[in-house]
Amino acid sequence: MNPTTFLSRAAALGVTAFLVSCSGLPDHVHDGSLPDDEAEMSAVPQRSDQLGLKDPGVESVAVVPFRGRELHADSKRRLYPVLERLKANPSQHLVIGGFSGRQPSEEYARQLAEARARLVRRWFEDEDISPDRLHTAAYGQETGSNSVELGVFTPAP
Amino acid sequence: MRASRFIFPLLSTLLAARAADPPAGLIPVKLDEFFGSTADAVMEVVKQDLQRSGRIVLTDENPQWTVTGSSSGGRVKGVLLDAKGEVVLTIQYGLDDPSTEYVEVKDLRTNAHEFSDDVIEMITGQPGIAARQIAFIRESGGRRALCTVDTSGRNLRVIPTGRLPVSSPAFSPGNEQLAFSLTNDGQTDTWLTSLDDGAASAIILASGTNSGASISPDGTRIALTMSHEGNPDIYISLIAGTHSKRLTNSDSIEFSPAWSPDSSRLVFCSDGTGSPQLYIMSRSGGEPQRLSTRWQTCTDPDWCPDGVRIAFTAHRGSSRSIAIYDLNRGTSAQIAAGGWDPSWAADARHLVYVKSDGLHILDTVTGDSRKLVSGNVSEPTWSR
Repeated sequence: MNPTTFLSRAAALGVTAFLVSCSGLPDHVHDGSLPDDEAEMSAVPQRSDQLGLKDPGVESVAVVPFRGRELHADSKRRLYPVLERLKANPSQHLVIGGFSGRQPSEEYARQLAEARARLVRRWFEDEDISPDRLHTAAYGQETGSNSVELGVFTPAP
Repeated sequence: MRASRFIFPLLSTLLAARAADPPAGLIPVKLDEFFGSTADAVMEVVKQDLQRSGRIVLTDENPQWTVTGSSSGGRVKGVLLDAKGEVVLTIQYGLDDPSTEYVEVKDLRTNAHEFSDDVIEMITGQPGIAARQIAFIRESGGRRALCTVDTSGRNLRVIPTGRLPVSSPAFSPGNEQLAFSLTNDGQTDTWLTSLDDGAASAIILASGTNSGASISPDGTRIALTMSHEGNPDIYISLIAGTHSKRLTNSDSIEFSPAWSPDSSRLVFCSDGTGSPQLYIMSRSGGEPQRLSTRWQTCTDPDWCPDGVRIAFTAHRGSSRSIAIYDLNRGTSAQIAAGGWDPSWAADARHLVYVKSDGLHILDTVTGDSRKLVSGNVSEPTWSR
């Protein structure tokens, strides 16, 4: 039971003995004021995309194996053909889906998959692909695969 | 001969007295007769609740307190008497008198649990946990469901979240709302649902993976991992998700934040040294302080309501166990092998955690463990 409710109920029933003898009850009552650090907070950016590898129209074009959080040379070699394709087809967009393999916790798996997808996204950005054409998704340990999968699609005009 | 005539009666008296003494540290309580048509059912629930508190021994010999009452229909009237037989507490649960504001239509077991908790808090000074809920994820047939159950393993309830994969449940203080994450084709966002009317809304819908929410004990903020600025970091937002502040800023992955009881600090995991380890940080920012646990990998931290202990999953190779880090001593110790995902109860004594066969509750003082729910379960969290 909510302690405040308990106190109210006890008081209404005339249980003064409880009120007198019980120490250590929470004395915090939220006064409705805003947190003191609100000034440092900024608006949460709303999601502008909702795309994933399972989206209709997304064509799978590459699977990039991962070890840990680094993008190794052998992984980069699998990215270059996709980069060429994007440069040759400026209307095409890229979906970058991260997978984590089995990890110590589900939450870590989700975030590791996200970090891998973000790493690949930054690589394409560094290769002058517009961020507007890049969409990331994170699948955690959904398949047990340690990889990033790439899919392309052409948005409707 | 003469001496033995005196010694034997004296010995038997002493032995009898010792047999009647409660075990050290336990408070002797007499569970007296209840009256009414549903008295037996209420007595059985209260008996289990008081015993499971770990702080009370039920005895008819020299009790410090006596618990009695009556019950009919779904209502419970509970009475607590002190050692002199004076009534110190009388409360009714499940009143339906429209002339009073204390109308609570709940089932018999819930009313009995609430009476148990009020008795435990009254005589031990520590919160009872019988009426608290445990939220967790249950996976069956390839689908994940958000569920709640009470601490006796009854009243299992599936919280409607749609058909999308659900994860990371977290209670608000007072057990009125539940935060959780939903994943839709690789996009994970944080939602908040009312446990009263089931109304749910997305509160964090930013680009990237927004998950692992933890609601501050003062009810004003949510801490979670977000990645819209490029890397998974810990953010704090207001409870409605309207404002956010980036707390960590690194190339590593920060995740699984949990609040200190006074809502001033957070413990979380970071893989900055390679494998995930525990760190503490003020909610206002600053340099994270690493906790030296001496375990290879640490995940799923939960800050104890006593403020000085942190339970976590300790990994060594492929084995997992529950360990507790003591902030005063700066040391950690394993308390249960073969378990993971610990969450503290409000009494700062019991932990709920996962084993390969289901959910278990551990008494961290006695080491006793009991199974609560069978099946493929994960991410339990206790309402406080």
